[in-house]
Amino acid sequence: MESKVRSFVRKGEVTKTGGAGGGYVQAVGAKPGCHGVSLVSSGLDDLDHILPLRNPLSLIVGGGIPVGGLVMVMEDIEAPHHMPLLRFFMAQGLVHSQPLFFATPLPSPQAFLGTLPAIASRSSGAASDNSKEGDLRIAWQYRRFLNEQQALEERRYRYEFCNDFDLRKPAERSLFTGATIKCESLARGAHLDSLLDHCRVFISNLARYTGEGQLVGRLAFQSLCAPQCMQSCTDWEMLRFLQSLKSLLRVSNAVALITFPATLLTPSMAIRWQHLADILISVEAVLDDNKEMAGMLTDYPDILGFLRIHKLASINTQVPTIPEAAMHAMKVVRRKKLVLERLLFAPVDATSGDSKTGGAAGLLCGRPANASSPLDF
Amino acid sequence: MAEAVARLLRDGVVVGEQAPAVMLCDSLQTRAAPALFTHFFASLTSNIAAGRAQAKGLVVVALRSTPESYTSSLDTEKKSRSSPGHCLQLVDCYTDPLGWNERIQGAEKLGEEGQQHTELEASSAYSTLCHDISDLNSLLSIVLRSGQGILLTHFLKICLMDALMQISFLLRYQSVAAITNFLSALRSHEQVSALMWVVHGDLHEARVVASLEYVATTVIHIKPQIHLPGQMLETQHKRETRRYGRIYVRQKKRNGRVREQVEEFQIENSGVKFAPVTLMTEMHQAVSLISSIPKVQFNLELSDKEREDRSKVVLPFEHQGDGKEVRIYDGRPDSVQSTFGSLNVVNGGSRHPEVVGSVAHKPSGVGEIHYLRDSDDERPDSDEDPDDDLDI
Repeated sequence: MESKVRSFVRKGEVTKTGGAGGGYVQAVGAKPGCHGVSLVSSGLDDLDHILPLRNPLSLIVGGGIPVGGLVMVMEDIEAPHHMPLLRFFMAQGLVHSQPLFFATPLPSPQAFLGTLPAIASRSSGAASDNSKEGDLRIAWQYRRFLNEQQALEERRYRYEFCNDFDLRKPAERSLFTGATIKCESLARGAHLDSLLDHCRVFISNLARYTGEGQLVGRLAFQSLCAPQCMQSCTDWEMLRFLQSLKSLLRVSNAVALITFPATLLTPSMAIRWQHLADILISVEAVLDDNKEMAGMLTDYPDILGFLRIHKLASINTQVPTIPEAAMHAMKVVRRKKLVLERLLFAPVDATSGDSKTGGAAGLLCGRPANASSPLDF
Repeated sequence: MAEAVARLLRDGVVVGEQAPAVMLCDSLQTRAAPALFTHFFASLTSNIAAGRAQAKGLVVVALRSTPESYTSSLDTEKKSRSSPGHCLQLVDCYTDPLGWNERIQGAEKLGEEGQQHTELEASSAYSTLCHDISDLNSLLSIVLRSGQGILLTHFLKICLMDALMQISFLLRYQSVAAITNFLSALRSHEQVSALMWVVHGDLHEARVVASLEYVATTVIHIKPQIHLPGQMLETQHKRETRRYGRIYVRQKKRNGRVREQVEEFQIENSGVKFAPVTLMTEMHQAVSLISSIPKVQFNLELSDKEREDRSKVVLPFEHQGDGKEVRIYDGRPDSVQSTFGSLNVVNGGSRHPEVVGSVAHKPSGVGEIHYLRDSDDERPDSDEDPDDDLDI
């Protein structure tokens, strides 16, 4: 029998070597994205929606961090806004029982683990369900299905792709027991060869899980080029470490999040670091009591900082994805939830202030620059 | 503001956090950092001596000049009241930073035993000599020991101290990473209340200054005074411009926002004076008014002739601001003697005497407003709605 010869075979099957090289990863917390890449959540719902892969399906599927990808966050030296991003990333990994590797220049990384947020409680949802139950007077036949629905929701809750986290509460201790967490402190300087070795061992341990029980590992590096870390290595050694790490990630079931203060590097080094990233995000501080910004943005008092998307992942594809909105505002809602919102510009008041700030209405109502007569508009 | 920074140094560290760190960064154009440093140093010593500060003692790492220069900058009153060693300790890194004197004297001692060598490094009661600033660990221990020396005289268990220094000198011999480690170690030490240092911004690369800003919580950039074109006075020559300048204070707040404030300063013999910034709008009133008119299709501005004519219009309203009572022509012969025969619209004299003459000649250039008052009992400037008496 002649076998059908096909020139292109779609990479959709589950393979042993996971990550971006193979097909989809069947693991807790991972969902298939497009271009044959699996996605894991970053921990922040809004950030996942900002990271889509270009596909109409992705609007339904949503986005996330591709498995095997490297996310880099450029810190602002004046504000600690990269810390919540790290916390959500790590907390999401804990909830999905994903192994975690954490390196930081803090002297005690375990103390940082204590600041991870807990999952927001769902008590409000349950209360509304009960009230709905009482309300079913006409459709009373469906009352018995309500309970089943509730039980199904509870079970699915554990395996939600992206959980809601509550910043006020620390993560439950039960999540830490049985979780594979490796911490490294870089307070005495980053000894890069041993650090790379630890990463290699961590990632190779992930490969042991095959088939149905595959696990996606998460590596988190905080402030990787902080001065404390750089005292024992040169810029080029650090770059070499990053390249090795990226090559390790590509052929494995792991994602990495690295935050680094870009202004503390020389400009050429900073650009090289930025080119290495699959997803590049930067956080910026916002000035307090800035009248101009207060006039431009409606919710200026609530904004903690700005998040800018520079680059989105284009693994297994030639076409780069361009984000819809480059800049988002980070806000904490009711002190417990971090949201990323598009910037809302205040309605322009053409009568006040300089014509520059009242420009939009002036431009709309004024005549075009090269109009010959004042009556043209 | 400068007082806010002085208060920050005085209030010190909040429980559970690292000590606040203030960084002064200047450049060649201003060179005012030593003066500002002295200003903060003086305010801090007075606060500590008076017991208002959280810290009980002050440790100064003297890199720029001799220890005596720091003590002499203190008030003479304060000196007489309490000895400098009472709350001030100096780590002398100026006299012999690299240990050369020590080595020379050590070689001399071997050579000629009988010679009495002068004790250059007489470490007095309030200053400790440091022979090697390239070893930051030993410098750290010397600083902490000096601070603890203050504690012993006070017999207090938990005390906090400050340390002030000039980092540019240390950066000659150390890498940035080592210096930032040193500063972070000081900041996180439980006995340090606040920290302040000075950097000359143009001596180092941008990343070095950025690394130091990374460690600091408050950064004060000292910039020269901005001179607007047309505002330069001839008497202001170069020497004087260095006495003035602006400071840009950037403070990292706890909620992640950054507060930036600008203030002007002036260096005088008695110290440094701070003043709020004079904004451009205050200096050039007319310019700012014109720029605030939005650009729309019709001309909102007045030409000079129009402005002049507008000022000449005599307003027939009740109060012209003269203080005299004004009587308005209402079409009836006035009971009081009126000078309306001369066709004065406003009785009791007008603001513009030339109008009197010109109205008689009725030129076309002067504006006239004829105001006929409707009713007698309408009081001037009353808020009554004239439609109130309609019966609908």
